[in-house]
Amino acid sequence: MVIKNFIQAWLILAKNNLQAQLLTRSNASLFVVGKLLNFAFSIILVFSVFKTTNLVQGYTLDQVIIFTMVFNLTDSLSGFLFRAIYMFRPILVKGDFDLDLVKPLPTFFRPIFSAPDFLDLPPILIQTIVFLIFLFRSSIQISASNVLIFLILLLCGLFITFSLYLIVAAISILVTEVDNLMSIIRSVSRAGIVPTDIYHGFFKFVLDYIIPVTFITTVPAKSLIGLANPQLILLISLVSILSLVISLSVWKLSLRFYTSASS
Amino acid sequence: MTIASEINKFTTLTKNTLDTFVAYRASFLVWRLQLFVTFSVFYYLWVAIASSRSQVGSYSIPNLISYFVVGYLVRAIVFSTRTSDLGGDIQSGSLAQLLLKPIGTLRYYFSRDIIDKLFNIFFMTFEMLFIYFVFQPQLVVPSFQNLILFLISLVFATISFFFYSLIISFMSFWSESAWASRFLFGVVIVTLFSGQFIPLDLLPSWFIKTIDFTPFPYFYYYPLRLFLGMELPLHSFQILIQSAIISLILYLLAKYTWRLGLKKYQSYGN
Repeated sequence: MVIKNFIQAWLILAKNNLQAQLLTRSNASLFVVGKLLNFAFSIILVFSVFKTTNLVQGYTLDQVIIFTMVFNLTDSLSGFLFRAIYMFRPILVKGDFDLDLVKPLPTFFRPIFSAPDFLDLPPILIQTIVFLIFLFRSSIQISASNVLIFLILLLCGLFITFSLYLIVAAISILVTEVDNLMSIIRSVSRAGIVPTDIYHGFFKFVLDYIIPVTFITTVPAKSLIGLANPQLILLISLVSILSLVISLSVWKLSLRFYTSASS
Repeated sequence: MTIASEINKFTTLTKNTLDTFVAYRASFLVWRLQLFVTFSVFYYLWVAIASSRSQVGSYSIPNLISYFVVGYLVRAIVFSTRTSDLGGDIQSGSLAQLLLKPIGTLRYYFSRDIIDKLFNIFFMTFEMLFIYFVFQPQLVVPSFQNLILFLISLVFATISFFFYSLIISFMSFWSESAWASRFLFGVVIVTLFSGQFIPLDLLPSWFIKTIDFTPFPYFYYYPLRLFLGMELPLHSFQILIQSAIISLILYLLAKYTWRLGLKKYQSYGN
């Protein structure tokens, strides 16, 4: 029943959001161009780095390009699905969140799922096409089982991203701060443009355990090129379940502190 | 009398801006943290790429490290701006209130920008000390001549970015959303094409030749090249002349679009 409500509400809000975005087409096209420029530049950046060397920490150009493309794809997918987090602060500050708490939907629906960003769909489409063309043309052998594992791990990565965003939403209930926290997460996530194995020390620790970019982008990309061992695949599944449990607990705890101050 | 009144206005503005910072101190601190994190990501990325090598393109490792560490300082000075608020003021109609104030709107934003930069430089000083002692980067010490060239180019970069950012905000006179044009022209294009992610000469040569005709490399890349002493004396001089011309063009363009925008402005949000 909850899932049915969830899907129905999502479809209605998605339709409304799409209509709103299509109303201002010139603005929408500026956003899409910006997102595509980011994607193109990340690929140019990798090619430029490899102009000066043949290997980066043991990885070849083709392998690093795959990591970069997976990074862009996960970034766009999470943008499409979870963009609502950026709109949560005004709702919270105005006290409108009260209205959502009485609805027959999960309480995290509004802060995470209520505003899918259709401006991420053209980049997702283009990135997928470029990715497939690159995979067919590259020298890397990819088996069907690798693709299947990759898709499962990509889903695990999205669960971890959802958990991270939910924790940000929980913190925002306490301190009404979202945008800069999200910017921090997005800045750290940029490290996933290359395999996170190349980093060392405290920064690697952050990427593995605090903002687990390793599990969101690097491990899925590794599974695609056959570099992920079964232990790593099991680990990412456990991490995604654990992060879901922790984030939902933190979210429930934060709701106890919601005072609806402005309403 | 005029000077005294100008000082008085600037003091009031400083106080108001300081009050805003104090009221939203958590936001400001998280914003600084976000900048630091962005720096760390690219610092570690380039350290990892450069490890076990003595040279990346034309850059020695200390040169490359200095490019990003000194770049952190350049970012705090050049790119910290309050002009992005102007787009929102135009959209919401609150520009009308600014137009009635006993200070020119552009001067008002210029004063706020200076204050904003001073705040950012203040916090950045501690962050630089942290970077120096914790990251222990191998830094290049510039010659006196390079330092002067760098400082001059930094002044031009700051002025030209101020006018560039104003022009982006002025686009709100003609568009429905202030954020869309800011996202593309003020964030994505500036970040990618000014060399904040990668020294531009490591990119394909056609790329640097093309964007050499735009203001973007003069915001960040060329000041750092001058700091590192990687430009020939004649070319250094040429860069400064070009920076000055770009500042002038952007100033004239900003003034023109401001006049044009005001004619169209209806303050319907109020």
